[in-house]
Amino acid sequence: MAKFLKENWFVAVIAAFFLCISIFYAVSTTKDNLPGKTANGKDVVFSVDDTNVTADELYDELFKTYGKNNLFLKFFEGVIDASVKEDSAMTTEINNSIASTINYYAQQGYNEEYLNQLSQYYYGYPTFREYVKYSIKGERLYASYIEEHKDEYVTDAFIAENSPRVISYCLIKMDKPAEPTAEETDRLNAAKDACNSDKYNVNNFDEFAKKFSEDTSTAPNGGKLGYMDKDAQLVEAFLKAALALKEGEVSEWVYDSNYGYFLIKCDSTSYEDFKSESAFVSAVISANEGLSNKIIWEQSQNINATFPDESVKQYIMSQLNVEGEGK
Amino acid sequence: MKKIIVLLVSLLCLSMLAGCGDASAKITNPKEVIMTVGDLKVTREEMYSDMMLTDGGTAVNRVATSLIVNAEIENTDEIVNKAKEELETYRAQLDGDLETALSSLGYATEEEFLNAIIDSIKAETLLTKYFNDNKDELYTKYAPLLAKIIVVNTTGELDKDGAKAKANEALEAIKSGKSFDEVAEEYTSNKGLAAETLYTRESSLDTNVLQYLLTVNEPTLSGVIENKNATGYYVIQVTATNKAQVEDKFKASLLNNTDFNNNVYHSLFEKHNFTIYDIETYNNIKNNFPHILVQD
Repeated sequence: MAKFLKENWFVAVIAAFFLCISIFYAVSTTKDNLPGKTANGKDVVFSVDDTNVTADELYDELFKTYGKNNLFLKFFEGVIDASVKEDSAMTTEINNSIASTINYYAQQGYNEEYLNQLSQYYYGYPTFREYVKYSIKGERLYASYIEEHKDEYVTDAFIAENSPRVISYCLIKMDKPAEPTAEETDRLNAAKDACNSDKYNVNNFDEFAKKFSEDTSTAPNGGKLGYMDKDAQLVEAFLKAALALKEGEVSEWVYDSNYGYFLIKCDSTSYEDFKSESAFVSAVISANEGLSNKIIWEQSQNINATFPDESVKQYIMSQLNVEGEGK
Repeated sequence: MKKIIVLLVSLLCLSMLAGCGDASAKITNPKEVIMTVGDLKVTREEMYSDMMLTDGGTAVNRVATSLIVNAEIENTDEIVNKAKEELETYRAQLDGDLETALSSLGYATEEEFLNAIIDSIKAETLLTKYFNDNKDELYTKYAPLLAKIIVVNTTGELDKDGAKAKANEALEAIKSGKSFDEVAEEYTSNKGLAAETLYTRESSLDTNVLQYLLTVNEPTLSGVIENKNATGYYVIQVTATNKAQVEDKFKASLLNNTDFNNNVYHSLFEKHNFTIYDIETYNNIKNNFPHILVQD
């Protein structure tokens, strides 16, 4: 060794120099670092007096509270993602829904961060966008299941009870409908005359509503309101008249003391025309307690969801309130 | 041989640098899959990371506080019985659905929930104990007293001289034997301040008023005090300075005071040598619960 050092003294000096520099650097850069600790081979997160709390113990503590909800949300998202593929049309629908909701809340003085907080607080989603995405994808899954089990869920009794339909309407607005001005009366009379004319008759309701309706949200689309049923949040007189119509029928002019006069057309009572409508899917889900949970669980079995830990499976099943073997 | 030595020295240097960062506590079996749904595999590591991100600081604070509270306060029959009473109140309020409510809160058994109630009672007891143990120091620090205040502000119809004259009128009325409350009813523009209230060195009051209160050692009627901005005048009746007389209100006020609570817990976490060995937890506590962080 001495002989080697004697022959290579310069290399040894250089090596010793670098070694010292390295030691100095290591000490100076790590002296402020947080030290770690292990106890019985497990990493300790913190200690109080002589009691160590390991990462494993903290995992169990966290799992009791936040963890279960987090796990269930992951399960739900996993089932939805595996079952509903997001195409460009759905992406557009999701983005439009997000944009319109953000816009609506912006007008009330709330920003997107507020919506993110609501989504996180009430549903556990990290962002409002995630919440909308999984709501819409979930709705598709439910709609698809209902379509497959149409005979079971869209029964004559359900139709009779809920009166699902697609409608359009024309509105002649008045400031004080009980005391219409001469100008408002003229507009109403013009519309009444036009319903019976060759050009704008009610058989061509689309063109009629575009020309005469004063409801700016529906008039550009030919007065189309879309799906409604007995639970629709509409003014009473409107709701009653709309539900009384058979497919293709047009109501009499319906008076409402707040808005003015409505003319309503029932475009369709056919299942095919509203089977994918969000409100229809919600109506079927609401009418059948536990259906959405059943769909999620059945679908999880179709995509071979597995739970190596039996307690995790039991927890998911208890959250869904379902019974069965599962995997 | 020379190359080998240089290489070994280099490796030694590298090994000294490696693993010298801030500590990060890991769970065991991090890659263990606890659920597979479609393409999604949920591992213990992923769950731990998510849970720590969302709830880590709160959970650490909760567990550490529980350890400290239990080290400081022993279980007594009184505490346990009080906790049992609270449990029964919850049971009655939830109309027989206690089990579901507890499950949703993460409690597997009633006993677990009972222990959580016991912890919260002990935490309250701990604050009271701290108050009792440090009473003299706290009285010196906060200088509590009870007082009633009449305020006469200048207004569009009442100029500075008018307001001062009106305040003097109020003062004379009290001196002549009318009750403070009666005079306040007639003269003050702030009925809230006329009620007997606890004030301390940290109360949000006009500087001149606070200055006066800090000089008072016994129940006294003040003269007319002009406020800092010369826009109003005060007449103050200090009603109690005796420790025994102010204690209940002073204690209640401190127990609801965030700074007091934080100071108490800071000293307790220090006393029980609360030490963190995980950088994520350290940063979380530093940002969200800085009052319990007692290490550099």
